[in-house]
Amino acid sequence: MTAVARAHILRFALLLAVVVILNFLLPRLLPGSPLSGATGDATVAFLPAAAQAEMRRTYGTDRPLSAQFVAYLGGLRRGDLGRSLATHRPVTDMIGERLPWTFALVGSAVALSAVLGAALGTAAAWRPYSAAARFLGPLVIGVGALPEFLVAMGLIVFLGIALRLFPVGGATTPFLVVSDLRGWLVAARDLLWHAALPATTLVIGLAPAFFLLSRNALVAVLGEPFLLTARGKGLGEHRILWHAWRNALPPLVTLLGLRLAVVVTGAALVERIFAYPGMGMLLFEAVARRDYSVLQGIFLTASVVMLAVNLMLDLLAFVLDPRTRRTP
Amino acid sequence: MNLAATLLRPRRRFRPHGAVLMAALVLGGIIVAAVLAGAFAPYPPRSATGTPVEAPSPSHRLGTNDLGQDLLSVWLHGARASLIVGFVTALLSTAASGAVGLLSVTWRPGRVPLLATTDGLLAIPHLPMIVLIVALLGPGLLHLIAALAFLGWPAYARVVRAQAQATVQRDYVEAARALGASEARIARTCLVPEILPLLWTKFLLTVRWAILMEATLALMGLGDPTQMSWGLTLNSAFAYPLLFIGDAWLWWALPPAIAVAVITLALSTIGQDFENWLNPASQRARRNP
Amino acid sequence: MRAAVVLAAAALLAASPASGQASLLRLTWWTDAGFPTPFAFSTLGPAGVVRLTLIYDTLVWKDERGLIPWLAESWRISPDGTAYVFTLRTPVRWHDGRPLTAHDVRFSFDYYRRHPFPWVDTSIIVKVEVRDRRTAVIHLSRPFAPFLENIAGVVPIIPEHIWRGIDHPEREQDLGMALGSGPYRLVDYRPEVGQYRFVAFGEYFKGHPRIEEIQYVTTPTERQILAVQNGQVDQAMASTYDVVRTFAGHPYLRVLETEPLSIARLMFHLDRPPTSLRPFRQAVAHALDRKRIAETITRGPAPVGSTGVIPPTDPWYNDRIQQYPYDPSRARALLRELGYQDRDGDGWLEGRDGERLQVELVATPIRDVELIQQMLREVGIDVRIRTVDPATRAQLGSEGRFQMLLALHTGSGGDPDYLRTWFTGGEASQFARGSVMRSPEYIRLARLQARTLDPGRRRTVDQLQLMLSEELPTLPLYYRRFFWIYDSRKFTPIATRGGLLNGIPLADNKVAFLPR
Repeated sequence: MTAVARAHILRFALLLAVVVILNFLLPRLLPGSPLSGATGDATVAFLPAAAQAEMRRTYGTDRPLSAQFVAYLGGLRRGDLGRSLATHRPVTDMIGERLPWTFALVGSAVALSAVLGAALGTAAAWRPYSAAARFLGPLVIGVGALPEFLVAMGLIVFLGIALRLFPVGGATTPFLVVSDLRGWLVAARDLLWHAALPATTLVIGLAPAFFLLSRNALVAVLGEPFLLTARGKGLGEHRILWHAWRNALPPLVTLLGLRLAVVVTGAALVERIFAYPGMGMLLFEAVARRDYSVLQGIFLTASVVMLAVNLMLDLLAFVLDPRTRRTP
Repeated sequence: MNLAATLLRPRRRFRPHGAVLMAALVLGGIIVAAVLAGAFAPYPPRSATGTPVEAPSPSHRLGTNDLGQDLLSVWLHGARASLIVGFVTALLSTAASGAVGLLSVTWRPGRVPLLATTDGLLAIPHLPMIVLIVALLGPGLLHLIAALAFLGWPAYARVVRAQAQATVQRDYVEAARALGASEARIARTCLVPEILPLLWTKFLLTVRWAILMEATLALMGLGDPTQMSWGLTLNSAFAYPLLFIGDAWLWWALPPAIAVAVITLALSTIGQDFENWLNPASQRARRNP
Repeated sequence: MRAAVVLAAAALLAASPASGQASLLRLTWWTDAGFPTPFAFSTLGPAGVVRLTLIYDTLVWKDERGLIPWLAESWRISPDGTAYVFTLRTPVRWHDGRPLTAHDVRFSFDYYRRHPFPWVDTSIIVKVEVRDRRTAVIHLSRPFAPFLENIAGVVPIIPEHIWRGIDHPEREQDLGMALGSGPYRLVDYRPEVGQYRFVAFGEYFKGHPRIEEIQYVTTPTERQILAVQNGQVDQAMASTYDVVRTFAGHPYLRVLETEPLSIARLMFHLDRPPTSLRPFRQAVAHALDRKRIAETITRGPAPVGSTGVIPPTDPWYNDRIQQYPYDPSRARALLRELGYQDRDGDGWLEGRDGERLQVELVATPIRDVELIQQMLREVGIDVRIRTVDPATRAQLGSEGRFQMLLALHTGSGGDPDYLRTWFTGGEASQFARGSVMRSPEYIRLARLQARTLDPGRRRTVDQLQLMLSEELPTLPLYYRRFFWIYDSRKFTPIATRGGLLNGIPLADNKVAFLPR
């Protein structure tokens, strides 16, 4: 293992330690102890004293901070993120139910954006002075510049409410019965139908960056002298494109990685607007209920995923581009 | 392609084209409206001057909201909150970005801690952090600005640093050093001019980001309810259960939505043009058909 | 042949559901309500405890007219009021077929002593005695008038054979643990989306429920009306009157109005100036046009807040209390007596020391706050608003870190014991430290009404309202009704008298799902 790789991994470990500590402290700095979060505003908002004492005992919030930290570390080692203060269920269970939804939604949106952006970017770079290219650029950028919540609301109002083409919330139709192959197909279609609007919102926001990157990278490479020579030698257009793409790939992969790094909470707004049961939704719920354990779990998951993806990107850059093997 | 080499290419003079001029005009118009809101607005925005949820009429051009406040006045005053958050956040954030980027190159002992802080902050997920900070400090314009500035500066610090590093290696800086110029003077005369365009771009993009974040948070109910902002108007609009049954959404939700869209589009257009100017790859495209 | 056809037709007609019956009912709430056992349900909001009532039964229950027998078919109260003898109905079965007996009743209350039921305090119960399989006697430490309505009608009876020996009941969240004696069984629960599926329990003692399956889904509040219009759900909730007008001529959607069980009230800290000064509080009462606030926020004729706290529509209401009509000049006169005048002509009042009269109001981001600020500005009081989320508001309240606090919560109906629990004792301090009634006479009377049965109780409750109106630890602004828009082709919900359980204005009373 080279020194540089070691340096990257060391950095990752250090950042991880910082994240773990921050994770523990931050939710506890919130005003509003977990008990006051457990009772809502719209009810006669007090738990009988006996129930409160019981909760404090169960969650150890009556112990000193240092004891809580030690317990927290011990739990982490075992893979135990504690129990939710609101639902009493293990936090790992709650995260486990939500994470797949977020990964699926964001993962597919990022992939779609990359493909769409790259395709449009290639088209614009290939014939930069055609009417289409000159029109495409500002259009894509303009649409991408729209605020995410506006795009979401717009889609909901026009496609969901006015035209009733898509459902405006949730990930599935409640309690869809799946019993046979035909049922599976129906369920799959239902999933896609519910994911259509949120995924579209995300793609509209993400694709422009991929478009710009591909177009600019390709345009730069397409003007390079070596390609001029290749054309002169009679190399076909497709081969040229392929060569151009090899040069454009590294920054594209980097952008892809950057977008995936924030996958855990990157779609929080979209999830909230569409009531999609992912990690972003869980975040809002946990903040409202002052659910420390769940907040800790979300932060930890998000940070670890981010750090891990960044580490992978750095290591991948090694492989793809030897020039980055110097000291960082 | 080497980032440093890219940034150091000679550039053409900045000549904005049509769309950018229009965007600048629109932005200017909104700023004027915000500053003169007091004069233009037909009523004080907080006074309940009409019956709640009234359609537009001669006395209330955009109708009224659920408290009976004149929506036109609220809309004009809403520009203020958005612009204040946008510009102040951008100012703080850009200054911090620039300072950290520069210092990490010119101030030897500060390099490691500055870079570590930058990377550390970058590792924290944005939205949960803002949600948490707003829940921690309570909603309030100042808190929001602080949170946004705090989260916004690390992203560009690395870019500034890269530019400063590349500049420092150039011949004329070496020459200046050989002639005995101090580090501070080098920073002032050689580095700052090179990073200024970068900072200007960052400023514009941050204004846009901050305005967006404020609107988003207000829409989610995490905004400052004492500040009339477009996001807040949208929040109260969407909380009205009969918004889409009937046409209330046309005059209640649409105007602030359009306002946010327009201002972010305008800032985006101007900022994009800047970035294009900075990035010579697009310039080469224009030279090589 | 003809006879056969007629018979077949008759059989078909007889077998078809009567009007107002459905095989699937889809209800909705704005959030998840937790796993429906008495230990794991969500206490954030009233939906959790109400959902329990589909699975579990209580000794007595309420319908639109009041208390009715339920698990207990009759009861007797001892002359001294400390013992309740309940005779249980038989046969009553748990969902797994085992019989429900007085042993389960005793086990339930014993178990709640060790693992408190999060919704009511059962510490007043000393012991439960089993006389025979059908008879349980509950002994209280002292007479308690609200016992039937607030405890016997709320606390779910749990099966001994399921819960015996369980140490962490809140963690038990397998479907099999949600086993009760109620009209519905839980067959599916998706916590991440807050979706529930209940299926009718055929052997229910009140008869086979009329609705075969009930599903609960989550819909954000502002989308519920759209959803019920589109037929995605069969019921939606609203809290403003314009909804009623919107659905006035609808072919099948109707609106059910509940009693005004949700109260919006301003709480004053009685130890901090200027709210510690009674004339100041009275001035605020005169300065706020509560009728206008009520009409603006609820967009209709909501009952205006009564300074005796009990709503004017309530049978326990006493109208011979101190009223504070909207009168800004009277407000200014009271403030002037306290030494607050506009000394420099800037529109704000200053005290004798020249300091501006400033008060902080802690509230969640609700619209009422703006109106309050405007109205108090008109008499010269500078109100600084501190907006917080519900969790922080609850904490600030319990720590007494406020001058004025705006609270919106349910419970202003049913048994009037809330005049005791909201304003005296430990629980009241948990809710709003510093805003309780300290007068020993009030405390004495509050305890007295809890021990007295009518007609003596009525007089004491009247007296309590009078004292509250004079002292003004809290200023009720208005009362909200909840409006339930429902698909009348599928079912007809009922408005429980005094609110479901104690004071909850929800419409999911299981009586609506059962044969009459």
